[in-house]
Amino acid sequence: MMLSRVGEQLYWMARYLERMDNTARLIKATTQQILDARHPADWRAPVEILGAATLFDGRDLTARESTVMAFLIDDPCQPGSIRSSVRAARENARTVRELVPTDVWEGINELAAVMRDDVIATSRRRRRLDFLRHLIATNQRINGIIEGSLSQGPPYHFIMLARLLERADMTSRILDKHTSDRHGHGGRADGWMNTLHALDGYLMYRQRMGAGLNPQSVVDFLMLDPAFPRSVRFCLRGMRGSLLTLPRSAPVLAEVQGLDHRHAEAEPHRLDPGELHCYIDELQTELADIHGHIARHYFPEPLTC
Amino acid sequence: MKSHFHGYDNHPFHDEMLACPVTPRPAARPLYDTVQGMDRSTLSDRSRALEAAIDAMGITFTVYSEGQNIDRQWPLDLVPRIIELGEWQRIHEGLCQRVTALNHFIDDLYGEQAVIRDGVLPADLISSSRNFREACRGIKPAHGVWAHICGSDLVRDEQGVVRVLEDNLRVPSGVSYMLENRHVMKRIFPELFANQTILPVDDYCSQLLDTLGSLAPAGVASPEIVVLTPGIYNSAYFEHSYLAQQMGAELVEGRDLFVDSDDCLYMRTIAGPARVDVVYRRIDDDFLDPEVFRPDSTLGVAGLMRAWRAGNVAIANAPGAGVADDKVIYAFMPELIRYYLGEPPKLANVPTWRCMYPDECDYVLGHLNEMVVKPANESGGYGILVGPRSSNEMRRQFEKLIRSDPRNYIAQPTLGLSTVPTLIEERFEPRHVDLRPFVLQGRRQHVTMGGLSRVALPRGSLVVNSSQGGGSKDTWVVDMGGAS
Repeated sequence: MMLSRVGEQLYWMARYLERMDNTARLIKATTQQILDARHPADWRAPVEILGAATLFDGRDLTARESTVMAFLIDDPCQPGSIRSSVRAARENARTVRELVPTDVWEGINELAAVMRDDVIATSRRRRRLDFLRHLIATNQRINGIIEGSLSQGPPYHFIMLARLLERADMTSRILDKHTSDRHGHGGRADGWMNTLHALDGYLMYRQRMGAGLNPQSVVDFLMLDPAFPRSVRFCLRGMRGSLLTLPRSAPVLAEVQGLDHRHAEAEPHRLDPGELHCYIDELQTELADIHGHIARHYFPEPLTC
Repeated sequence: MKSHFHGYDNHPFHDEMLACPVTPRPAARPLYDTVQGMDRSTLSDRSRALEAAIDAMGITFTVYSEGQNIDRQWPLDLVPRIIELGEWQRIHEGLCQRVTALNHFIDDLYGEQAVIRDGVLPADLISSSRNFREACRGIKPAHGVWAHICGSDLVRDEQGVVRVLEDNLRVPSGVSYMLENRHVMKRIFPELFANQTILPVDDYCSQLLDTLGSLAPAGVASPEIVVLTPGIYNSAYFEHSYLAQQMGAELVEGRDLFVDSDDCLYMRTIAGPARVDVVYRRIDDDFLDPEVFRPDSTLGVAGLMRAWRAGNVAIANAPGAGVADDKVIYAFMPELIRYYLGEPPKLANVPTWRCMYPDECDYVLGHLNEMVVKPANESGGYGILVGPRSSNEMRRQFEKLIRSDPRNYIAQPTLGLSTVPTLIEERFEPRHVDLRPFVLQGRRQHVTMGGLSRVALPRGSLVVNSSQGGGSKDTWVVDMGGAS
């Protein structure tokens, strides 16, 4: 049976990989949106979405493209930067590499090599997009290997748990930023389109919701769609499925099921922008609580020195 | 095209590949021809491909430098060290004999100590040995075996004689690099592996698993085996993780384990405590159990020795096995082999002077500038004086050290280690090598096919340790099918 410490390390490996992937998608979508924008570019938006505004302001940084990109991609002292996420994923993977297919480890090494060799090019937009695509593609390859070659035992399910929790959190952040914008609910269609693009959900949304783009249905889709892999509900259902296979999971399972239930009852797509913002705050707190339950229940006691 | 070996000068040392610069030894002929058939740019391509493969496979080692742990790419040279099967079989037998004798010896030391009673070994040698563990007296491990994994370093002198330089019985490392070197070489030189019989090395991990399984407490049908590592910052962590993965064993740290009031060992899993039957430990005795050894150790497991004594868990290598790592004990190995097995040693020692004996000590002090002086209980190539490369000041220091603690020093003549062509800035130059085969001993014995070849990269250097700038080579035991 899997060691508690190993469970924790797999969990963090998967969370940091997913965070890196989501951050790369967000930067990519933001860059593309700003190229199209008629109003002044809002380079501060991704910093806020990623919850790094306090650190950003504390350093007296200005929201210029080059500053924000360096801060989000390359800054080793910014815990949410792509560089920090890749490093943390690799540090955690190092200690559990005997449990995952060798190609997963090679993929993570490739991420580290990309960070080492190509990051310099990110100040130029075209090169930056190539760089981000490379990161995302590498991570998707890692995910593919995990799907195709890792037995669906406890290590797999800890990875899923972590990936889905991180993803639900990110989806809610991106949505929140949009709703609290001055263009918010009922705002401009290109803003909503960008939200869907940042979550790679544009095509799936079109297929599910048909023509037209209205705020209610975007919120419905990203919050409650049972089939879109980045919707909050899909993530919660996936976590539930993984917990069902894990030993001693009943208390955590109850928390996730409770949240899934409350989330559906809340009908977030019917909320007005102010209510939705409050609701998303609550949702994020609850997701953080689920992490706390997983940690207390499965992870070893922290070392006391 | 000019020969790649034009100007190659290994004089006066034995070269493993070339009998003279234009004639390869028979077992090295296919490699020699292949290399000669390549132009310089093809060779550079292969060399780059090799480094790229090591990078992609994430083969690293850790060095501790200036207060930081740095992960470095594992250094592997393009040219393998080649041994003809017939010669390897003789070495194989010598290693089996040696490890058998070593285990008899350790079992005797912690048992009735007949070897001292019979006057073969001076009693004070043991009482003053840093690695003799009083706590192990009277314990009877499975099969009477204490050293389950032994890495003995072999060298070849100018006369072509293969000798044992030292035995490593505590936590010998390097076997994962032997295995990975072979993976890389198969990627880089597939044609050479297709066209001749290079004997495979890849059964090591299943042999290790078999060996460890054979140590499990009686009545355990499918034993739970764990690899105990000091953690990610240990220089051999790559190997700990690699071996655990290959064996399908859990890689655990001390904090993952605990001994319960039933004197059994458990690991903390997501499903609750799970019983552990065999520990392949990669931490030193000192840190193994704070109840018995160093009380400040956080790497080990409190109560582990209790569980071991009670026979509820097996530990490999057994605590206390490092007593035979002592380089003074090494000097007695020929006598010990005769004493325990009644036969002459099949593998020679390097002539060794023991400073504990006044006459030998005088000789050493009189010849410091020609000898290699080693402390009895260090590893990793630390604390060594290489006489011919030392300053007056260093020799004065060592004279003081030896005089203050003669028991803990031995000296050996400076060996002219054999060489293998090594790619140095796109040219082949002779570089000195040693060889570390690994011997497994449980219910059965097993020797790796070849071993890890280490190479000293600076010109003229004899220091092969990777922590001190050494590199490595793949080792090919070549079966010529009677054609030699």
